Order: sequence, then C-alpha cells, then structure tokens
Amino acid sequence: MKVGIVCPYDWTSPGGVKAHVHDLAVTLRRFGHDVSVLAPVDDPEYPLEPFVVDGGKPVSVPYNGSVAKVNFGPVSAARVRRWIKEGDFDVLHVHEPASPTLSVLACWAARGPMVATWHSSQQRSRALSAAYYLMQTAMEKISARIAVSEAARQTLVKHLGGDAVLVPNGVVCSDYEGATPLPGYPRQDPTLFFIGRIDEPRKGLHVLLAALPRIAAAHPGVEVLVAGPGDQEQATEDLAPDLRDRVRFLGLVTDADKISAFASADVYVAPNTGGESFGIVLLESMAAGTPVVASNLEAFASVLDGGRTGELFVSEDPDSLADTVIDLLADSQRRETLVPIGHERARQFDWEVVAGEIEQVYESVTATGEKVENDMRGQFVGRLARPNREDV
Amino acid sequence: MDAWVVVLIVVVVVLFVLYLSQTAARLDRLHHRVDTSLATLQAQFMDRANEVLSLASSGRLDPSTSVLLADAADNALAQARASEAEFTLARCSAESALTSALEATFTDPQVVDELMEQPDGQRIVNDLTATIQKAAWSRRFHNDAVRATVAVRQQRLVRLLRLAGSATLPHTVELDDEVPPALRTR
Repeated sequence: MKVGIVCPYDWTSPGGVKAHVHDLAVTLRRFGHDVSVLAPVDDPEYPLEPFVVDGGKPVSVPYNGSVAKVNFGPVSAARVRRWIKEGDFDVLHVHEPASPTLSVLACWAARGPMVATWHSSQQRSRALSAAYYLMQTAMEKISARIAVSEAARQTLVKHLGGDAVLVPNGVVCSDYEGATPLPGYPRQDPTLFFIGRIDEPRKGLHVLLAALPRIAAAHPGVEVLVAGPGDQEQATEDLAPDLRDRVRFLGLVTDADKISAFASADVYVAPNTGGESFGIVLLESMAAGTPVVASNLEAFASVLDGGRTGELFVSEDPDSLADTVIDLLADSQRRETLVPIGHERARQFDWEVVAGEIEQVYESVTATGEKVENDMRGQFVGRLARPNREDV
Repeated sequence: MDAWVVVLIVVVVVLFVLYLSQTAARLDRLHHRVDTSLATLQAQFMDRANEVLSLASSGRLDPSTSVLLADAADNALAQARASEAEFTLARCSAESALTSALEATFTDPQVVDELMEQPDGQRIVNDLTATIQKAAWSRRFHNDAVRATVAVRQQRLVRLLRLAGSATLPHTVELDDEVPPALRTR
C-alpha cells in the first residue's frame, strides 16, 4: 500500500508526535508498505531519512498562548499539493489535523481515503471556533478518525462531534529490553528515576522532591536521577542541603542515555499533575524492566491497568507518593513480580501491534480502491492567490 | 449613489452564490464519503461472516461451537444477500446475533489459547480478530460520515434550496459488533 503521512511539527527537533510518526513509518515500511512522510524541516543540516519529504521551514508565530513553529501560506499549500500529486497514495494519514499546520493544509488539498490521528487532549483555542466553517469542511473529508487516548478522543468529540476509534501510542520494546545501565549503576542503594522538563510544573518534579525527605528517611542511600532540561538550582532550592546531593541531574539526555537511565533505576516515578493524554514513558520504563510509580491521572491509570501493572498514588500528594515509593522499595518481591507483568503490558503496546491496528484502519477506508488526489473543488480562492502554482 | 447600491447587491449576490456552490460541493463530497463507507461496511461484514464460517468448518473448534458459529454466520450471509446494499433491520439483527455467538465462544481465554496452540493457530486467531475489529471500525466510520452529512443537510438553507438534490438522506447503522473479550488486544 502507498501511504502518505503528514507530520505537523518540525522533524529535526524531538517531540512526541514526531517520534510517533517516525516509529509508525518505520514499522509500516517493515510490513512492506511504501511510506512517504511530509514534515516541516527547521534544521537544514539534519540528515533526513530517505522516506521523509521536506515540507518547508516552519515559521515561529504566537499561537494558542505560546510560540508555535508552523507552516502555512500559499507556498506550503503548493508543496502539499505537489507531494499529494507525486505520491499517488492509496491512503493519506494526517496527524493532529486541528492545528494550523501542514496537516490541515493536506486535509484541505486532498480528497480520497483519509485517516487522521488526534494526539493532544489540550483545550482548543478560540481561533478554531472562528475558523470553524473552514476547519469543519476540511475535517469532514477525513474518512477515519483515530485518537491515541480516551482523553484525546473526548477532546475531539467535544470540539467536532462524531466519534473516533482508539489506537494507542506505540513503544519499540526491543530498544528497551536488555538495555545497559549507566556507568556505576545499578547501585547498592535504591535509585529513583524521573524524566521531563524540570521547571514545567505539570511534569511534577516538585511533588517528587517534596516527598524526598520522607523517602530518604526510610531509605537513607536513595538517589533521584533526573533527566530533562531546566534550571537545576531552582528546582532544588527548597530542599535541605544534605538532600540536595541525593538528586543527580543528567540534563537533556540522548535516546540512548534515556534507555540506560531506565535500566539504572529501581523504580521510575511519574509525578505528573496533568496535561498527559497518554503515558508512553510508563510503557518505556516497563519495557526496560523498571517498575513504575505514577500519579493517578486517568491516562496513567489506564496504562497501568488500574494499578495491576504498576503502583498509583494520589496526584499532587507528596505523602501518598512517599508512602507508595517507600513500600515498593522495601518490597523486593513486589518489584520482581512487576517486571514480567510490565514487560507483558509494554508488549501489548509494541509498535508491531499498534501499527498492525493502524494498518487495519487503512484497510477499512481503502476497500473501494480509490486513490488520494488533489481536491480542486472549493479551492479556487487559494489557487487565485498563487497564479504560478506548481502542481499543474 | 444608485451605482453603489447596484455594486453592493452584485457583491452580495456573488458571495451568496459562492457560498451555495461551496456548500453544494461540500454536500457532494459528504455523500460520496457515505457511499464509500457504506460499500466498505458491506464488504467488511461479509468478510467477518465468511471468516467465521471458514473457522467453523475447519474442525479446529468442538462440534457444538462449530454448529453455533456456522449457523449464525450463515444466517448473517443470507440476510446480507437478501438485503443487498441496505442494512435492513433483519440484517442488523442477524449481524448482532453473530456477535453474540462470537462473544459466547470467545469469552473464555482458554478457547483462544487452545486455538493458538494448533498449527497455524496464531495466524488464524490474528486474522479473525482483525476481521472482527475492521467490521466494527468500518461501522463507526460510516456512522461518523452519516452524522456529518445529516448535520449539513439539516441546515435551513440546504433544505429550502434543495442543495442535496435527489440524494436520499443516509441513516446510521445500529447493531452490536463488539470484539469478544478473549480476542481483545489490551
């Protein structure tokens, strides 16, 4: 099958949606499909994979309360149309289509079998309501809608109506299984691991650090490994000086170091306080064989199967976190039983399985054998604005 | 002054016609989407019944389960042939009955484990799960297309000016197509 995938965010900087599109494309190619990915490219030096097509340099603009790097305008639209024309796709798969990116341009420009995946569960801006008619017209062409989580599905239902099928995020289990720990690990004393921006309150590092005095009292040798960018001094300024060196900052880590850090820890702690629509990082930890302690956000509880495949504590409650971590560190038997349970859970979300389900969605929309082509109807306003268009 | 009024009227009329032609194109697209999703739905439910029928006649399951499944699948296929392109009430009941038969068979995980252990069993279980899942999904996708189309067709202007032309108003397909518990991935 010839599959065209649109990634809305910069291909050359790390991100959840980009990683999802990358792993999906790689797995589908392994299944034998012919995959082309259209993505914004900010860094021209970045070595693009052979299946990636440059969708143009994204522009930084204020959007939805922060600065977003997006592609828009007639030049991007022309690139999208040309890619669709040359790709001759059996199915077009756009990601996060309800945002001002290449994705919505692709919805706008194409007709035929189209699949869309909603990733985020964030509230949508007022701008979307203002452009509702235009967005609705583009969204209506999508033949199959996928949400990566229940939270993302509800956002979609609330803002657009209709329904979506649930196909979760995937994890490449083989990357994590049997990983080598960082030098000097595992230690004699227990090690906890946290990953995420350290100055982003919703990642919840402050909850973990608030629980540290009690954890350190029960397990004096404990160390907290922290991976992620942000101001390290500010993060620990509320801690007693003797506890500060219980925290080891790794800074922004490479994928390889992240995997090693999972393998170095006895317990992975996810103290996030909100804004998570899925818990891919929990699956990564379980794939690496590291038991998980996570806040009881809906998304986390669902990945941990209500506490069967990992421990849950009351979100934003340092005492609850401390109790849970202290108990789990003291109970080596429980940790050992969690390893195979976690492995099995992560396997259910392996990209082999997830991409197989996405393949089934593709088959559900391509049964009539129609191809993806440029949609000429209702486009003349955009086309008049660009007389020397590239696609004719 | 009069000239300005004329210009204004012309502009309004042009905008109105533009809007109407856009809406007609939108409706055309939606109707096409409904036709496609319905054709897919037909094919996927036929696939599902055929897949179950071939499993039931493969001798991999015990005789009573085989008869139960074969009967439900056969009935669904007969209704599909009788109702042609439509999802009549009788066809929807027959498909729901097939779903019940599947659920009765594949609620106990042991049944799936035993099937998996047979030669080529893993592939057969995977194919069966995929076919059941695809049928269920294609119904969601179809109903989604129907809802979007009906929403536009209920707009006052669309009804008043008969922008939908002679196309019949599509309706959602309601039946039970849950994937049986023992076949679910997670």
